[in-house]
Amino acid sequence: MYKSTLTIICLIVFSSANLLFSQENDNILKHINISKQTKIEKVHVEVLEETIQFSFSISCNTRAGVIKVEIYNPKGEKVDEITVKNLVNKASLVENVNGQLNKKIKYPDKGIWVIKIIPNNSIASISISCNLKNESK
Amino acid sequence: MKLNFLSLDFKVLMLLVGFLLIDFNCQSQAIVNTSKIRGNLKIDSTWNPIAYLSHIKSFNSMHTISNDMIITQTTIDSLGNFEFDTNFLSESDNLYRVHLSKKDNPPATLIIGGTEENHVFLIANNKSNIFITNSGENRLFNTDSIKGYKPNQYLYIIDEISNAIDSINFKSLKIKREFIKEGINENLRVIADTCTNSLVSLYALHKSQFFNNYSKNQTFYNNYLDKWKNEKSIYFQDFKNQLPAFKSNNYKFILIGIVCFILGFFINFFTKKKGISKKRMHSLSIQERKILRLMILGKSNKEISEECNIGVSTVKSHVSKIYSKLNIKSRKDVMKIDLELYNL
Repeated sequence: MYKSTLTIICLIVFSSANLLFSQENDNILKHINISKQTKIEKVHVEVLEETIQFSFSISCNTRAGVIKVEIYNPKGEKVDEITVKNLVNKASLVENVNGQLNKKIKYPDKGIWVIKIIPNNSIASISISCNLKNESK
Repeated sequence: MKLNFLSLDFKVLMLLVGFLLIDFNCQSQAIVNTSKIRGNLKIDSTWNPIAYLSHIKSFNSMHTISNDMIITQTTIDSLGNFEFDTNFLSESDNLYRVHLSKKDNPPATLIIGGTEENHVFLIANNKSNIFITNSGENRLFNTDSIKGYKPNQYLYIIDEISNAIDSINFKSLKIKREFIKEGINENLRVIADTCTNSLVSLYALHKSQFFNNYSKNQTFYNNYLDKWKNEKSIYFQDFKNQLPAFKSNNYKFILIGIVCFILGFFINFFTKKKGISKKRMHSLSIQERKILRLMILGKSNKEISEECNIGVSTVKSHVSKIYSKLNIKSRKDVMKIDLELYNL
């Protein structure tokens, strides 16, 4: 009897704590294939007032050409960037060039963040993974 | 006997000098040999045991990966030891990147941030002796991975300061957050101002978001450029090109160029229209000038021959000479010549 009461009390305490301090996660996954005809692409990510952490991982696998990925905050300031160049040399074997940008921003600026993909005569594949950790009210 | 003793002493002395010279030579050889980028890395089986050295020609290229940036590579032995020869590096300090790639990735792979970050930046020249190491725990490289050449320690202090902007818990008023950011950037500018190594100084400035600060603090940047006016490195040239003042100067030069081109075009156009230079006109003989005057007035060859009392064929000969001296092709061009301008 005593054991079951204690279990119930523990369950109630843990579930209420979870309700009080719980965090919600929003995930955005996007895969983009770039061909030589592809023009600038933009991925918009909305950061809310309750977002406590914005993390993203951008992977770029380039077979030819140049790919530049820039990240802008809602103020329009460039926060980070990565450039992956595969300038195919006839003398060497064609090999891919990979770039990966991982970033974690605590208490990011609220608003629309922009991930801008600028290809230049390139053949590539890009994977974007964003995670927004929101504080539930 | 005394002489023999002296000569023995002299021989010993010479031998000692010889040994010293050999030792000095060996030491200098050792100094040459120690000028390398070496390291010992604890890596797991997921990493390829090859280290790549890339030359980073601009601070803006630190997050750029390309096959042609890799200048050399070396194998990491089973104990984790590796070394790059630095003899071919520049005499002055330059920025380099050492990276490894995972077994399933191509050699030109750059991972920025996260637990799998695969690179480390370093300042080196052809005489620097650098040792790279890691703890082998969570990350491939740590903040204290580079040992040996002091400017690298400052490089990582700057990195730690600038990375603090993204890692500090800013759960507070927005204005407080901006205040802290500005404080961090101000500290980076102080480092840039006081640092004696030009590349480290410039790196601090690069990290301080000078783009947003330039208009507010122009005197600082002018004084900074004045302080490093003798610095001719590619990094300083790149920095100058990024400054709005230098950009606008370039713009001014382009504008002046365009204006001069247009001006030149119009001058050329009008001088052509007005015709011939005075020098060419002076090359004409008195008779030719007289015939030219009559041609301008619209007289035919026959009328000119009657007025000048010469034969038509002679007029024709004078006309062809006038054409050649004035570099004109037809009577139409002759009609355009201004009589008063040349006092004909």
